[in-house]
Amino acid sequence: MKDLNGAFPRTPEAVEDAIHEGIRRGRRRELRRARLRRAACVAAVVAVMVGAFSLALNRDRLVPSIGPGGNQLLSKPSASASVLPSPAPTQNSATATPEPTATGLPALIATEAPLETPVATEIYGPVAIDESALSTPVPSITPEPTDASAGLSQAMGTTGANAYADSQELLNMDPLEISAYYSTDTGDYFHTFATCSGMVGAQERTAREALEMGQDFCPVCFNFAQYVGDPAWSLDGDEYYHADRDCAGIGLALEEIESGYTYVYLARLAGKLPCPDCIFWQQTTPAILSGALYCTDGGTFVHSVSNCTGMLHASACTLAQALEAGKVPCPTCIGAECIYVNGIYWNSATDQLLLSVDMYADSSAYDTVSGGHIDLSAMEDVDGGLNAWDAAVLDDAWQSGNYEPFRETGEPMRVDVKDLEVEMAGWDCLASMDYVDAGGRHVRLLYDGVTVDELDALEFSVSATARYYCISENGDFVRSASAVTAALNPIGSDLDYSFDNDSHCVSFMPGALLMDYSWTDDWAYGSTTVGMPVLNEDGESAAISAYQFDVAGDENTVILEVRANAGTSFDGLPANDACWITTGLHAEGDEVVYTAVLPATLAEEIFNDPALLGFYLDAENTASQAAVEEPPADAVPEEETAEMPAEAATLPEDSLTDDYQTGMEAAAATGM
Amino acid sequence: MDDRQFTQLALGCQRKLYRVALSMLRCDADAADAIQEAVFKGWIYRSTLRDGERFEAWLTRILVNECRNIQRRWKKRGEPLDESRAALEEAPPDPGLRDALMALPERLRLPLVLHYLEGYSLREISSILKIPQTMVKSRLHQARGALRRELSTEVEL
Repeated sequence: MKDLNGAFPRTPEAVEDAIHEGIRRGRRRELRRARLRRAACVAAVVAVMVGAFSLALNRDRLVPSIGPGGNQLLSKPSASASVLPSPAPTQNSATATPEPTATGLPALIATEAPLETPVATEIYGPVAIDESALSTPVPSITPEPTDASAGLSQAMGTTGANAYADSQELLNMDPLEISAYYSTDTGDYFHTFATCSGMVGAQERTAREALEMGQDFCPVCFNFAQYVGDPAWSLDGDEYYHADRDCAGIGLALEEIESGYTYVYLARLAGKLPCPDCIFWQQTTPAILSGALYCTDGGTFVHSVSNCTGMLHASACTLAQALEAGKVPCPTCIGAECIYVNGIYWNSATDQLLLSVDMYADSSAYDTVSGGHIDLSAMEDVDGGLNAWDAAVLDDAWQSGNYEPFRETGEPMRVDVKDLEVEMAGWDCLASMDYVDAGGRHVRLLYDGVTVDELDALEFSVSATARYYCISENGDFVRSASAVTAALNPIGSDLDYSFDNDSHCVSFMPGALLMDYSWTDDWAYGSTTVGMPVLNEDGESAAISAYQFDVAGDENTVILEVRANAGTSFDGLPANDACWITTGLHAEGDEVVYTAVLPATLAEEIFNDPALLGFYLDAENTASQAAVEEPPADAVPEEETAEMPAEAATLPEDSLTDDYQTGMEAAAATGM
Repeated sequence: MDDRQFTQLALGCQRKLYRVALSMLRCDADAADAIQEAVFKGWIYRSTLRDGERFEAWLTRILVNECRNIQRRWKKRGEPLDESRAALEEAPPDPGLRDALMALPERLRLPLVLHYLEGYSLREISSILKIPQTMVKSRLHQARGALRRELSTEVEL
């Protein structure tokens, strides 16, 4: 007898090392993701400021609103690059007012200009980080709102004022108190995540608390100044911010560590530049640009400065033009692989164009830097970003409070539209961004050389290939919709934009887009459906469908859905404690939909006796169903068949639990 | 599954992982690479593992996929897949048996190792290799015969 074990040598140490390294890589990846999330939050703050200032300065130049909710367009631009901002770059205006103004918004006041003046250099003046323009220190934003800034807030209206106030509030926060870190009571370091280097028993505390305990920044998990949300070092009045607190350019003394601690975005908003000695260019991403861009015909790069490194004959260009011409960001004046231009995040290294989290984006707009863009923030957040029907489903589910998984996790259901395909008819968009974040899906189309009128007349088709309803974060889908396509005018009334109280575009209602779906079981894991047509006493037709509820292995739960023409009346579900979630009636297109999540046994009762809902089996349709299926004659007890048409027997008593597939076929045969 | 649990379980089955990876890749360094990648992916997707008791089979499944990825890369680069790749830091206790085992084609060797060495059931092997149980059975039968011939003596397994 041979021992197969003898065919293998002892396990080399490299294997154990490989396991540890694999776990370390996994941890690092999780850390990176956490940072990206944090950076996204910060980008949102930047976007708020950009939007607020933009709105304030252009309020008096807006043409009448187009589309519901105030989709506003800026003053009519021309498609020609020649009318884009003149080569006079932003820094001129900044240089012209070197003294800090009382408002902390120097460019804003200094560049008040007539309509015809290119707007790009002035709209975003306050937050413009035009790197070369800031070769001399730029005044920091004054933390306290002054009279002048109060006037600005007034000019911006409530929305702008709120956004401005929010961003100011954040700017006024103590950097040492902003984030939560982790450390043990006896540790030497504090960390960005609770299990750094195998740490156990870590407690959450702020950087200030940890520093007061004598702890230092963990050299492993703190990578300073890499992303906008990362910590950095910079003292008041410094020209640069630093990744290394011991950098020769800063050399913080021990007592200065706390006062020098800041974040990349705070430093950037204060007009500081990345230290050339300790911050590599790739660590500065994204460069936040708000002025015009410049390039030459044959040049490789797109610049933020018209005369960068002695460049001659540069002409102003839009981001769209730069993208089309295949330019990459200039390493000298932009210095990053990614740039952020008015809400558009362009990663030239990966050739990706992304939409940053943009809390304050008009749904559609035209600006002289980006060109025209259309932003369909389909579902920006779970609470407010859903179409009416989805929102009602979630709301009822949440409020019912009877469904344990919700209570246990505290997580609401998620609804996502997947595989949203956007195709243009008539116009080719230069670039499109399809971006999904925790808040939902965003689509932004970028045009160039499109006038406001043309933009208004645009039509495109949107195809949603599936819609998922997801109960928990682990991705258990319970239902889905098949593909539908709709042609839409993005700025017209086809898309019903909705806005929250702060005029944030929280959703567009793709009701027309999604009303025509037919349910299938293609995507729902382990889920099967069964359905049948019914009539009520008035001859009004409806369809009852049931979907097996495949969440947390709960096979005895079913989603029951009744779809009927608008105006159809029915009794609704019988009062029953076992009915966990009811959504009531919701309009969806021309139909009303009644949805309930309930035990399979109750759904079974309803299928066997639709009269519980005020419906009866549709004799005509079920006849054809019967022709397909021919169930056993004794499937339904006599006393039940006596109360309903004989065709009721086509759905035997155990059809929901044992014979879904047969039910599916029957439903398909009847055209459901 | 928390971090510590994952680490303990992964370290606990390192011998198994090594033998499976070596059966497929024949080289210590490549086996370590595959294990590292498998553990990395396992870590990332650990929340998808519902039944903690199936951790080993689950991780082995990932490892087998990873080994196949590596083999695909070899093939793409035109590198040999045969014995010439073999590179072990330490000789096995029974080199003859090792040679005989490695002489078997992988489709026979892997079920043999998984079943007789690692103790996986036919059903688990079927799930790991994504082949029907009947095929697992058949391959085990063929593997036994082939190994017997290779050793030129009767092998009782």
